[in-house]
Amino acid sequence: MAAMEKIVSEPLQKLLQERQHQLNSLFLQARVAYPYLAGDVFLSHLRDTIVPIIEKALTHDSTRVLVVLETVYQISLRLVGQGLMGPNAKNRVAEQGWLNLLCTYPAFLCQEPLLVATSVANVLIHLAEIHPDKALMWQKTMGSLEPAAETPQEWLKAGLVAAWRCGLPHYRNPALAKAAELDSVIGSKVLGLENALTQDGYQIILSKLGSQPWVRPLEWVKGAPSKPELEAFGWIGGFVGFGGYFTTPPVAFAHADRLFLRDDTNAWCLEGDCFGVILKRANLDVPTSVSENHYPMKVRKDGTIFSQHGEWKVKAAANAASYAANSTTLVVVPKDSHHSLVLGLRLP
Amino acid sequence: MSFFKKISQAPTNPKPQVSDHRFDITELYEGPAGQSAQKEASQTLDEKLRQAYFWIVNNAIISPYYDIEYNEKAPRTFSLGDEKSRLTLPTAQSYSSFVLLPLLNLVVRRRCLLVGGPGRGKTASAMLMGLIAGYPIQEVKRAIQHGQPQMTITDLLGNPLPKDLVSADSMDSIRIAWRKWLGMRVKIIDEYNRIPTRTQSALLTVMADNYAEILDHVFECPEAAWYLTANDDAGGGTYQVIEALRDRIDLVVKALHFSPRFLGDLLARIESGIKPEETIPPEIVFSEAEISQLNEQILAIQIPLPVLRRLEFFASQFEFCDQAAEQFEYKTKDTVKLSGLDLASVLGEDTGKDKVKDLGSQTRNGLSVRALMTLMIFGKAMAYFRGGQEVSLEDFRQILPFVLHDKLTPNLESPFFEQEGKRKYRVDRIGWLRVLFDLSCAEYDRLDLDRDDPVTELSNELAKGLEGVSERQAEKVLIRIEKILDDWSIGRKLYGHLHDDILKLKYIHQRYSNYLRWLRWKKS
Repeated sequence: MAAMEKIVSEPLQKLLQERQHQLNSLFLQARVAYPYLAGDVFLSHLRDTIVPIIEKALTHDSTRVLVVLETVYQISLRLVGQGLMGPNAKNRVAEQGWLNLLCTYPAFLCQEPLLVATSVANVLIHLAEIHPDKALMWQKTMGSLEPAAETPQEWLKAGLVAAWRCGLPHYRNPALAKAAELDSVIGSKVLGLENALTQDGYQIILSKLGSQPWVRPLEWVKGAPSKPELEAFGWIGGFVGFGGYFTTPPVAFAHADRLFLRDDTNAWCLEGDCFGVILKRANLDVPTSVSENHYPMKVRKDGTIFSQHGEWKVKAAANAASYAANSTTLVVVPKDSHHSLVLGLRLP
Repeated sequence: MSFFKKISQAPTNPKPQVSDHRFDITELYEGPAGQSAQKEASQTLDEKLRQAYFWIVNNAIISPYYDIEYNEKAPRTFSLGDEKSRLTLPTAQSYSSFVLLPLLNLVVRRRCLLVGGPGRGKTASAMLMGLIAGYPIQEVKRAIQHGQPQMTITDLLGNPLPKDLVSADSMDSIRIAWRKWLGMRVKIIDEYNRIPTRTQSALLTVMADNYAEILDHVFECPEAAWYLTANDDAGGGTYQVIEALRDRIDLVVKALHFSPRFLGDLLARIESGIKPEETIPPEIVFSEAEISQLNEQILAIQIPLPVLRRLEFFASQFEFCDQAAEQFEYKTKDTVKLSGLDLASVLGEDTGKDKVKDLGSQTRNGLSVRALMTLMIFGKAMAYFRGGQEVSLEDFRQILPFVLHDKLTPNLESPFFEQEGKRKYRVDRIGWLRVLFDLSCAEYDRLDLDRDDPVTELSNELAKGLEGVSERQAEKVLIRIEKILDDWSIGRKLYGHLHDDILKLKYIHQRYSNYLRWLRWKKS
């Protein structure tokens, strides 16, 4: 604790001294669970992250600071012990986001230290593992809810919708259900709308998002697409040797209105909407029950894609090795490619 | 939140499940930082019970002895040393009896004796049970009754208020200040063999009948789990433990020595100043309602008939003593005991039977109803703890030595204990009881009683009821019984199980003959 003395305020210093034995004991206990938890590493995390959070909590509500300290300290031991935070962490986006959000919302932290500190840490770690940008985006969205969210519970509920918007399309349906429970001002913010919608307007947007996965909320606010459009959303997949998913060029197929890609060893389910596309590992035994003839969208050899809503020419779809479609999404695997093109149908 | 308060999120006894994963966005708030919110109590009580067990073995009691062994497939065994001691590496989840059995005792609310040398964690283990039952540590400490030679009934139960003693006109108006421990759901008696005999009798009333009595005033105690500790396995201490009190003990658990191989764990505990009893996670604390619910769920566990039948067969081996009486009903060891004769010498008389094969010759007594009830309850508890829907034979095999530890007294003069490799069973009662059960099951298999058991057939027939049974049918049954007895009387040696079968046949015969008599009377 001696190294901390110069950077901490006097009240916090006093508190740390009073609790020195307990905190040291907790550290030793953590060493039992995480033998590689190094003292200097944790001390660095303590200085860079814990102290600023506790200082902020101290200025907000000194009566709750002890419980906040104990909570944040023990969560930190767990996370630094697992190498998810601290100087040795693979990336420090989650830690930075945790620090920023807990410092932005000291009131929520003081009110519900365990709920807020663990939830925020967990979601940031999950997002940072997928892509650091997603964690940054979530942090930014959550940071912008300050005056609107009145309770930690409401704020965290908004956080679930925000996580979906940051690019977790597999959570689309539960996130929409959570979004419906939010106040329209908070809901509008987490959906990335500049101006808050009325409660009715907000519910209408949610129902449109539910039926049309590829149209963004802002587009609905500005006006629906004037005619059916097929938008190439992007490429997904890639060779496993370059950080992708597939060992061999995959084959696309559909089952029960869901789209799958399968290589020689694994099967993946494609989950996508306007907020992102993701591949989730699926059961290899998923039957390829639907033939291309029954897909609502079909791809010709010259790259023409047609459905009951129209026809579009997509160069990258020419000579496709395989494709699969449901009513809103088309995935095309070009010949000899480990990548797949994801296209979304946007209707007026 | 403390690491010692951490409960593993992994299922303690994972079983194959049908995968039905639906994406739940709230999963995002769960993860490496721990549980964010108090999750709804979705976990089942058996899982909670296992969580409690694993928390104790991982964090509270350093007990590396997995002596309750289960196997899913044939285990690897090794013969070690000159004695060729057999070591088995179990292939299924196995348990430490010193932790598991007190925990099971907590939920079935019976009476458990923890025996072992000083400093082996007997009292600490009992205290942990009090804490898991939801009592604060100070209350548990206050409630422990420390046996000592000067302990009086007043010390144990309470005392009349002095003011009332002076001014009262009648016994009714004397108020009693009952000791608080009497009202608790976990009762701990430390070193019970140091309690004077007279006070032991008062304790017996509380243990056996669940009430305490002073000056005609009665305190009704709630259903409770009892933990008694003793340094001496035989129950001898400063005072001899009265027989009735010993008989009330349902389970005997041995506190084994500390393994020096775990000194590092002990050191870590000393260095960090950790006291496990102060860090019990709330997730493994059971409310009174939960313990009652657990109890109900345990009692609902089924004992399959073939398993029950083997238990019957085992239990019928011991009470029989051919030389004890003329009449079949009195051919019991109890008859000899009541006569004052030396049982061992009576058992030692030559009857032409193979005394090694006769399991009854190995014990000085039979099994009481209480012992059998306890065995079945703990069998169910064991099956429940393992996540089973019914009790397996192995559940009984594992629990049996701890339940019968003080219930079946070995007859050390039996030739069984003289055999090569069997002498150790004079000392190792747990091992002996397990072998006894194995031998009984082997004999059951040899007799092929699963397929060929006329007594069970006749019992099942009788269980259907006598209503509507014709005179002819009843006569047929009587003839069948007589035929069976005829067959058995030719050159067949009389063993305990046969004695019980014969008495059962006599009982069935009596029921049918009475019925027949009534039918004939009705006709005439």
